Order: sequence, then C-alpha cells, then structure tokens
Amino acid sequence: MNRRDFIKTAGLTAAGASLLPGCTPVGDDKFEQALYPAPEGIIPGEPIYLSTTCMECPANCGVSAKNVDGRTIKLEGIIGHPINDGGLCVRGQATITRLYHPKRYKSPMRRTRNGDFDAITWEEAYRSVWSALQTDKSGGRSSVYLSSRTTGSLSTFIDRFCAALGVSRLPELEVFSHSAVRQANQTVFGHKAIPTYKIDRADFLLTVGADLLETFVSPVEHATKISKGKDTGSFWWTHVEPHISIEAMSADTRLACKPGTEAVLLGYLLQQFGGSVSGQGPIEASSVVEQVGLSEESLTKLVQRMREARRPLVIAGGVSVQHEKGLEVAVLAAQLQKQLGSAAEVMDFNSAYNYDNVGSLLDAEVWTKKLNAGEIGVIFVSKTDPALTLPKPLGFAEGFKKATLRVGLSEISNKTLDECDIILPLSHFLESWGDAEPRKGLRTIIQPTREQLFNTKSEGDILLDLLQTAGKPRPKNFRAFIESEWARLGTPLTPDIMKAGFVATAAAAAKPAAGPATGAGASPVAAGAAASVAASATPPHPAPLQVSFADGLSAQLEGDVLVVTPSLRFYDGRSRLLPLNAQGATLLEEIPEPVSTISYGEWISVRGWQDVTGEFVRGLDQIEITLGETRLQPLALKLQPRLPDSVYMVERPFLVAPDLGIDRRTGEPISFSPNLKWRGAGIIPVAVMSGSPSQEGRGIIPNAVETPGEEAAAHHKSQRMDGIVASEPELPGEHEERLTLYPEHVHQPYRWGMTIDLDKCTGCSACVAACYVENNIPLVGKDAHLNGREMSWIRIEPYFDGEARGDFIPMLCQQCDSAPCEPVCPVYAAYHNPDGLNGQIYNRCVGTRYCANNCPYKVRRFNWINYEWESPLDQMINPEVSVRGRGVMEKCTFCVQRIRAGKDHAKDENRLVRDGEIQPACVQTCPSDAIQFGNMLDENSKMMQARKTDRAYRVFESLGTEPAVTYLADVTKEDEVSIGNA
Amino acid sequence: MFKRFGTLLFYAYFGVFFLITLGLSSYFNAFHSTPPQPVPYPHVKHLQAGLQCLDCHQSANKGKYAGLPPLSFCMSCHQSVGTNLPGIKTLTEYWKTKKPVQWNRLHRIPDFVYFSHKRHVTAKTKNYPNGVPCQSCHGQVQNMPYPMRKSRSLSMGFCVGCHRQNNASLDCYTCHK
Repeated sequence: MNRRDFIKTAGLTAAGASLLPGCTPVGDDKFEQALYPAPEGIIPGEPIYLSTTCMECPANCGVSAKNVDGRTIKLEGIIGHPINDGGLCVRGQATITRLYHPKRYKSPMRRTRNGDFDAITWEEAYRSVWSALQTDKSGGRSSVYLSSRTTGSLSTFIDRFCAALGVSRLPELEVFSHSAVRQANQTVFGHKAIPTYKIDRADFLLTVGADLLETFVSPVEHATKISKGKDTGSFWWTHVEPHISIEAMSADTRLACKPGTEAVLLGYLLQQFGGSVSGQGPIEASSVVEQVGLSEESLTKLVQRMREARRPLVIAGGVSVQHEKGLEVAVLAAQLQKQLGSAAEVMDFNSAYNYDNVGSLLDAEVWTKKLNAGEIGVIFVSKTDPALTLPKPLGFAEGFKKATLRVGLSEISNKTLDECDIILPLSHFLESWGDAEPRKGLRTIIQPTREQLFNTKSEGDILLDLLQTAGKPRPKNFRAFIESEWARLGTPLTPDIMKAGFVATAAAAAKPAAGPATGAGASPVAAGAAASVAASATPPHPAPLQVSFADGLSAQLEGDVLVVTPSLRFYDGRSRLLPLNAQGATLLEEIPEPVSTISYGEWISVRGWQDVTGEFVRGLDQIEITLGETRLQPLALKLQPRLPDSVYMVERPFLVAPDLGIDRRTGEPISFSPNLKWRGAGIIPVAVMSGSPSQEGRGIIPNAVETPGEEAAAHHKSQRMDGIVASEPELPGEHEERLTLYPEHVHQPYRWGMTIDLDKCTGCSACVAACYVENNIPLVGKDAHLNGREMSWIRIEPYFDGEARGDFIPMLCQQCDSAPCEPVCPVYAAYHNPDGLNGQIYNRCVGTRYCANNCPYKVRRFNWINYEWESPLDQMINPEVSVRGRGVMEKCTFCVQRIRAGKDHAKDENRLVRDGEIQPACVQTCPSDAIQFGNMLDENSKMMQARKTDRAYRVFESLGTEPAVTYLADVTKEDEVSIGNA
Repeated sequence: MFKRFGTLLFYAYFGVFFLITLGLSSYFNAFHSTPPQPVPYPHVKHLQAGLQCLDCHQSANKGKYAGLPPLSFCMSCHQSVGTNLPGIKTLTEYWKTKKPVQWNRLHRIPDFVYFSHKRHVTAKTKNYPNGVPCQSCHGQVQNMPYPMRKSRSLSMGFCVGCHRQNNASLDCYTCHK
C-alpha cells in the first residue's frame, strides 16, 4: 500500500464513519426570490463599483467601493483622481472595519443616572436636544457646535443650522491644524493656506519634519507625487527631522538634527541663497555643525544639491513646527522657498487645501475657558475627540462636565462620546450622502455604497430633523440639499459625476489676503451664529505675524528630549477603534507600525537603555516618564535602532490629553519636552513582530552592508534578552547548477510575477491592510502575536544594518518555481499551478505545517483556532475567497481570485489577459506605485520591463528557489546621520 | 441448544445490517429527498409552453449565478394566465403581500468552490461546441413536473470527470478558492 492509497482508504473510512458530514439537511437551505428585477447592469454575484470619498482623515481621497450583492467589501482608490490617483493608505483601507464594527452605535442613546446608556427613539433624542436649546436661550447660556474639519455642503448646512437655532459654531478642531505653516505662508506668500505641493514638478525636495507620508495634509497624494518625481530620473529628497519615521527611511538623504534646531539649519540655508535672517548675523557653517549636529560634509552636499536644483521645494511641518521655535522653522522654510525662486512652479495656492474653518489650540483654549466658566449649555461634539487630543491644561474634561447637555455625534464610541448625555449615531460615510471639498477647485461626492446597517443617520440628516423639531423650514432630506447645492454651484449631479466621484473646477486665482487684524487666528466664540455664517463665506484673515529672529533660532532643548509624533496608523487617535472580536483585535493594530514593528501595545522608542539610576533596563520593560512635574502612564520600552541619542519617541494617540503646552503664537501643540526623566516600572508584553533589526548577513536587502553592524548586534542582543547573537552565516553567492528529480515546469501562456521597487516603497503598510481586507485574513489579536502567530500574508520588514538610514522590504509569498513548500506536503495541498503560482488548497490541507517549516521566506501562516466573524463583520467577507478554518495553512495567492476574474473577463472577449489588467490588492492600493504585477512570459509587460535594471535581485537567490518576485534594490547609497553614532 | 444459538446468531448478524440499512435510509431521506416548495412550480409546463432556460434564469450566461427571475417577471404572465389554478393563487398571494418566496434550494456547491455558470454555458469544447447544456448538471429539467429533483451529485468527482472528457482545466485553483 503506497502513501496515496493509504490516504484514500483512510479518507473513505472516515467518510463512511460520519456519513456525509457537513451536509445541510434538505429544506434548511433557502433561496429567496426577489420581487423586482435588479437595476440595469447588475448581475447577481458580480461586483459593481461606486465612487465616493474617504472621510477617515481630512485628505479626502477618492475611493471606489466594491459592492457584491449589496455588500460593500473593499475600497480602492479612484484611478485618475486628482488627489490619490488609485492609491489608498492603510487607514483608508481599514475604514471598512469601522463600517462593519460590531460595537458601532446602533440607535440613539441617552445616558442614565448610573452612567449607562439606554436606547431611545430619534424623536425623543431630538426633543431632548431642542428643549435644552430653548433652556439655553432663556437661561442666557450659549449653545455651541464643535466638529472636526468639515467641508462642502455639510459645512454650509451646519452654518445654516447654527444660524436657525442660535447655536455658535466653534472653529473646527484638528490637532494637526497646520496653523504654523498657514501663518508662515501668510507672512511670506500672503496666503493663509496650505498650497498643493507639486512634488512631481520639483527636482529637489527638502522636508523639515513634515511627515509627508503619514498625516501631513494629504499623505497618499504626496506618496503618489514622490513616485512620479522618481520616475523623471532627476529627483532628490532630503529629509530633516530629530527622530526617525518612515519619511526618514524613505528619503534619499536622511539628516537627523538635534531637537529644536531646524531653524538654525534653515537660517543658514537662507543666507547661503542670498536671503537675510532679520535680527541674526551671518550664521557660520561651523555653528550649524555644532548646534544642529550635522557634519560639515553633509551640509556642503545639501547646499550644493539645492544650488544645482532647478525647481527645489521646501516643506516644513509636522513635529518640526511644534516647538518653541516652530514658527521660525515654518517662516524660514517659506522664506527659503521664496528665495529659491521656484515657489510658483512647485506650490499652488490656487488649489489650496480647505483649512479655512480649522481652528488652532488657541481657539480651543477660548472655548474651553467658556466651558469651564459654565457659560455653555448645549455642546454638540461631532466626529472629534477633544478628551483625547486637547492638552490637559485646557481643562476640557472638567469643563465638559459643566455643560447642561452634551450631544455626541459619531459612529463609534471614543473618550468624549463616553461622557456625552445624548448619543446621535452617525452613519458611516459608506452609507451616507454627502460631498467634500478637500481643496479649492475640487469637489467630491459621497454616496451610499450599501444599505444602512443600523438605525443611524448622516450628520446632515440629523441636523435637518432637528430643524424640523424646532419648527423651522428644512430641505426634504440631505441628499436633496446636496443636489440643490451642486446645482447652485453650476455642476448639477449628473450620472457622469456620480460615476467619476469628483469634479475639478477651474480654481479662481487666490488673492493674497489683507484683512483686519483680529489676533492670532482665533475667531471668537461669542461672534454668534450670524458671524459664523459670514466667517465661513469669507474666512477671517488677520494680519500676518511679524516674526523676529533676534531671540535666537534654537529651541534650546536640553537633556533627554521626548518627541510626540503623529501616528501612521491612528492619525491623531481617531482611527484607533475599539476591539473588533473576541481576540481583542483591530485591523490597524494588527498591522505592525513599520519602523518599530510593534503591532499591539503602547510604547516609547529609545536608543539608549540605561535609566536615571544607571540601572540596565531591557527592551520591552515598562518605563515611567517624568516631565518636570508631570508623570505619564507607564509605556513599554522599544529599543529603536537609528533613533538619535537622547531622543525618546512616542506616538500622539498613546498619550491621553498630552500636556506639553501650546505654542502661544501659532496654536500648535508643543510636541517636545526636554529634561525627561524615567525609571523602570516592571515588564509589559508588547508584540514586536520583527525577529531582529539586522539581516544577520543574509543579504535580504543587498546594498546594505552584509554583516550586521556592531550596533545592530547590540540591539539584537538586548531585544532578545538572552544575549545570544546568531553567528554570521557564510552564504554562497550563486546557486550551483540546478539539479532536480522533478520535471521542469511548463508555463503557458502565463507565469505570474511581481517586481517590487524598494526605492519607491515607503513602508506605509497600505498593501498590508489591503491584503487583510481582500483575503478575509482573520485578526488574531495580541496574545497570538505574542506567541509569534501572526496571520499577515504580506509584511513590511525594516532592517537597520549598514546604512545609517534603515530600509524597508515588503515580504510576501515569492511564488517560487522550485518551491521548498511543495514537495514536503504529504497531501498535495501545496502544489505548483500551471500559471506558476504555489497553490494552497485549503480543503486538502491537514495542517502538518511542514511547508511553513520549509519556507525560507517565513510567509506561510497557520490557523491555530477558528476565528469568528461577529455580525456584521461577516458582511465584509469577500465571497471570492474561502474563510479558512482551524488547522489550515494559508498564504499569499497573488490574489488568485483577481487573476481568475481577469482571465474570465479575457475569455469572454476571446483573448489573452492584457498587461496591467490584473492587479492584486497590494499592487492596486500602493500609493507609491512600487509594485508591478504581470506575466513573466510577456517580455514587454511593464513588470518585466521594470526588471531590466542593475538593481534587480531576488531574495535568497543562493537557495535556488527561483522566486517569481524580483526586488529592485534601493538606489541610494548616501545618507548622513550625525548625532552621536546614530 | 447450539442449533438455536446458531439461528440467533444468524438473525442477529443480518439483523444488524437490516437496522443499519433502515437507519441509513431514514438518514438518506433527510438529505436526499426532494423537498416540497412553497409554490408547486412545474418546469415541464413552462418548457412545453415554449420557454427556454435562459428566459427565466437570465444571468446563467452572464454571471456566476443562473439567478431566479424576480416575482414581477412571473406575474407579467400570471396576471392573466392560469389564474384559477391553486398554485398561481398562492403565487399571486405572495405578490399581493409583497412577500419574497423562500424556495428550497436543491443545488448548492460548497463555499470553497468557484463555479461560474457563464463559463460553462458559453464554453466551446469538442463535445459541447455550443456550450455545456443545462441538462448535463441539472438533469432533464424540461421533463420534470413538480417537485423539481436534484439528479446529479455535483461532487468533485462529477466535475473532474467532465473536465477530463472535455480537456478543460484540471488546475486545482480553477475551482478551489
């Protein structure tokens, strides 16, 4: 009896024993007959795509929502959209888990005496709000409306609502208000706005602290444009910042400056290009070297590059404008841009971002004072979380309690909503009508992509109903209001616009604003409803700030410095949702933060590892930070290679009401704190997904030094806690001539392959999120991650050898031609497919895990338990992909369901698949266009053309696995970090 | 004594088989009987009247699912045709109360299988130059009175057998998703 016969017999015996297990008894399986025909063009089971706008962050990318049989299952960027052009970021991909979140608000609620919430009807909710509004009027208290950045018709309608009911609209609350940049642009260019940065037109990009690819204004747009810039062949990106971020790891040159010294560098550069820094004498290169911590050589190179550049672009922002000299940094960057003479070519104020109604923390200070003085009765809080984001000294938490009625509008609970009296549940933007105007000259449509899941309403419809409760005239519904608004603006909503999802109108030339001086950008709360309406029509333009540099350019941050950074995954905290399932998982936490590779947990990144008493603290120990009088909550310690000495880095969402102060001139939050002290506070488990910061000499990214640097080894040692450093293996460069017992594979007419450009890859992790949503990958949670049981089919690996900058490499199944996983499978579940894919047939798999053990790329994943998709999460399951059960191995399939659909479509037209017709989810979403997919047998395919470069290599070539994935090594060899030996 | 014991053993031996058969047969009914339908729909009448499969199952050559016609489509004829028949009265009742009919499903392939009606109906092979006829998988539906029966197992062996004969793809990924 041979092996196969044994398995057959065993299978037969098992089947006989249980007799048709898993069959559904007759009559239990129902098939519902529809009453009316489906709309024209809809075929059951076939996807349709609806254009809408992503509202997860203020960038407002265009998204095309894939809907199958009435369920929205996946979002993709709209190709040709002026903002994101097909790409979508990690948060945009994950917003669908907000839509289907089991803990969403399901009906209006009222807080009871013991602090719980009781479900009420909409009518009851409206009446409570209306009577409280009337009490306010008679009692002399004011009612206020607070929202996050809101544009388009909804903004207009909120103004109308506020005017009709005598509610004051507060300046919109965004922690990332970019107010320093806006004020600097007003001072230098006369526009209090953020322009559209034409990065693709520039040939030299200098970014100072601006987290272009994470939260700065429009991250997907920037990534897309940087990629287009790189395509031109003459593009250089130099990034300056005091810490380490994905921008630092993606730029061509990374310059690490000492915290708070960016203005010294910018002042020096300005003088080099003939500008003058008022109140400052000539800045010597030697003083820059000393103060900023850069080497003389890198400074010379920087100046030289800028001199050679024809269209240089300078962008300051992010943490670099969030310290005491933040305004100086922003103003000097703008002056440098002006001095360089390329401003008109690379900055477009005519299509400036719509931040006119966004206030700063100074505005927040004004209204929180009123809250605390008990002057505010009813407060509406819509889609924002001041309890998390506002600095503690503003006293929001205390003041909020003094309001008579707190009305919260949101899809899901957050810190502020938990304190509200009335909850008005919002529909997700994928269920609502609306529109947005992310920047001048661009209006985008928001349309429902599926039916309402719960008893929720869009913000516009809620306000409309409240108007009716108050007996005021109202439009029929919010959709009707939008239609009338679009008609009024001269672009009626035609089916073409609904299909495209956006209208780009010719932007009126922006006039430099010169308005009455009314202080530092705060529009006063007491201005009242009428003023608020007027304000939104003609935004206030106070006189430009006059900045003097006489006080010095450095923020003088001494000792160990805490840097509070924006978060790639959670933005300002709004994208951090409640746990989704029994494993306590959420999609964005499941995906590791790319630099630290931590998935679950709150951590602080540190380079050194000795606490104040000189005691040795190991990686992942918990530490407690003291800043002067303030003590932060204990955070896990992550030893972060390449982080400059004495810089401690923590993501903003991890700090509740972070108390580092406010910049009195710009209203930006201060994100630095000097003289930090800390001590050990026990051990906390935090899921670090990377096994090592070093490649251990394996040549995964070839231009990195082959042997692990001393420092990487030291980090490795401390992170593992066991003091063992793997010895360096000596690898043969080439695999000897292939000897095999198996016949050669014949692939005809397709062999699918992938080319990944590491120069373009920014580590943004959008591909990882897209893969999770597309392939029904279960979210396994923190405990599984701590056991090393992650499920991601594609992951971003950071390595910190050799180069001072670090590098990312996306790792997924390499679809080897000579795959080590295939011959070891005892049941032929892993097999080689005629198209060159390493197939994995889930029904066949019996879970021996031999394949995973034999895979050198560590990309096979095992289901240790059955994961439940709690309703309504089950509605986001992609019907084209099996949901895997316990005991089954799974892995990347190159999105075989998309390949199948592409071939199906080609077959209908009796032809072969065209190049570019099939795009796996990761390829589709990549904002940087770093991944190409195509047929390896077609030499003319874009993917094969991209391989024809010296940079092409395959990972672990020496093993002879013949992968179908080719990487293009990073082109940059130069970088510069000068603090300590970072 | 021995003779009696032997007879007992004989009956016991075959009795066990009898009981197993009896048990299995009742089990068989639970899984393989033809379920009653909410409306006694006879395929044979409709096909005799000149209708074709694709007239009602309109997406069979367009998409993965063959699809059921909407109730409004049934009513477009049955407003005037056969209105006095008890079945049509039931159907009209569903339509008047706007209640979707819950049919009992006969043909169901497992969740992990990709199957496209379109690919089969529009296939061109040596054996089937004009597409695989519906009858190959669904049986002689045109002769079936109420209730409709499932006449093929639709198991993997059934699929692979036909794929072999017609030189269709035998790659696992063609069907397994």
